[in-house]
Amino acid sequence: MNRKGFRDPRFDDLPAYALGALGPEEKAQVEDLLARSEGARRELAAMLETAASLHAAAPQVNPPAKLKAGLFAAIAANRKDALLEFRPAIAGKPLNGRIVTAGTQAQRPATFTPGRSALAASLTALAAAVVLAVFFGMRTAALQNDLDSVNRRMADERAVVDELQVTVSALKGEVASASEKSGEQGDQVSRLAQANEALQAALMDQRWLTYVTFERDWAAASWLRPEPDAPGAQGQIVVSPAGDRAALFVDGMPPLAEGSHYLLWLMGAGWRWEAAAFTVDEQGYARVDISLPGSVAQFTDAVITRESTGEQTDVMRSQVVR
Amino acid sequence: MADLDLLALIGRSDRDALEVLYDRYARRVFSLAVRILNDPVTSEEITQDVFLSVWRRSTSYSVDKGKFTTWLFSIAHNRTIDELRRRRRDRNQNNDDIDDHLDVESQGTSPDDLAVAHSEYAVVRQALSVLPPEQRAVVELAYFKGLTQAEIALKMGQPLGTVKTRMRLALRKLRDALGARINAEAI
Repeated sequence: MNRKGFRDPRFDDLPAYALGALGPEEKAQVEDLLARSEGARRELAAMLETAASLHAAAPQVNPPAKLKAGLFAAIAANRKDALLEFRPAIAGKPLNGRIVTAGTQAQRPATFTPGRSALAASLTALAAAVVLAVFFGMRTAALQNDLDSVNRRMADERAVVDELQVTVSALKGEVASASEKSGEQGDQVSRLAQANEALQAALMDQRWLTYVTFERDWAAASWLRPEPDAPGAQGQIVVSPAGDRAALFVDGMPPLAEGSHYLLWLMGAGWRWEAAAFTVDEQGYARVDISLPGSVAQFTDAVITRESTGEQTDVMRSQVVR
Repeated sequence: MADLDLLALIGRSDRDALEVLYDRYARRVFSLAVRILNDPVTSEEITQDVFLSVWRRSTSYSVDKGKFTTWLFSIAHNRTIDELRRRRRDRNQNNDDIDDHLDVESQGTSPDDLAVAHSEYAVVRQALSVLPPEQRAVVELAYFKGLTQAEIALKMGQPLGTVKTRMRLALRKLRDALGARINAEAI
């Protein structure tokens, strides 16, 4: 209490401090008071004596004899500084440094073994090794867990890759099938074109056969050969049995430009006769009836020319064989 | 030989002096630990630790800090209470049996207690018995059960100030009752 009658409230905690009934924070506050106040120290000293006497209220029990033997055996083997270093921790920690008697050497902590400093050092090293082993064991276990996790992820990725590979293979098959079908279609188109060409040829032959069949007594007098300007053209001149009528059949003639036409010329010795003028349809086909001026035997050659704006071009030529 | 003389010898690494002190107080230290913890094995460890502290820290003690026995039993009590509180925090051990043990002893009805023919024990037990029940309770809850004053207030349903007052009054009455014996203890 100071001169003005003020009493530090921490004085009220001195009884609890003496009885060990303060928490860490309150205890620190009281110890701060004790460091500053001589009156607090005096008051506490009396309380501590009273509190300490309470130990006598405990029923008296003799400690085992081995406790004393172990204590002094340890002290004999270790100096004070060693005990300082290896003192067992009680407050807040397990009591692992208990000294036992010489008869229970197996339970004795290595640090308290009398005359066995080398053994103690070895055991200490062994303990350190165990700690390190535990540490590295835990570390290894952690790494193993990480590795397992990576392996699982790799397995998952491999499964995805496998699925993709299956899909790609299927797509490749489909592409190959499509390509094959495409090739087949190309072949089909090609075959179709060939068939069409054959059909067109057949049609021309049919026309020709139809004519020949229709005019069964008529005889061919000339087979016209194409010139370079009409490479696909073909023609036939047939003559009636009397020899006074003839017919020209052409096919594959080049289409004509507007204002142009074809002319059939029958050639004799030093002269030529314009037998007929004609045009062709889209397929270059034409049938031209001709009234002959005399016997067909007077003609030696037949020529077809294309006539266009004052220009004349030979397109077919042949001998008359009759 | 007085305790302080023995301490002086211990300060010079005299093992015989420590042995005398051990023979003089080891049973009391051990009994206190057993009384609080109800665990003889851990009580042995605490007893050993207390005397190792005496051996190691004898030079740190001075008369200015109080009697040697006050210092010795303060060390023993503090370490025992620390262990009790650690156990309570960890909840690794149940000390309810200690509570029951306390109640029996506070009433002085234990046949074992009656069989202990020890004057000091009888005197302290007598001093406790004359305390008002509420004052005796706070002392026993604090000293033997290791409860803080705040925990005692909560347990008893009393204001903290009331508990503080009861502690102060109880210690004063105990000192009055034990005064002659306390003063008679060797220093």
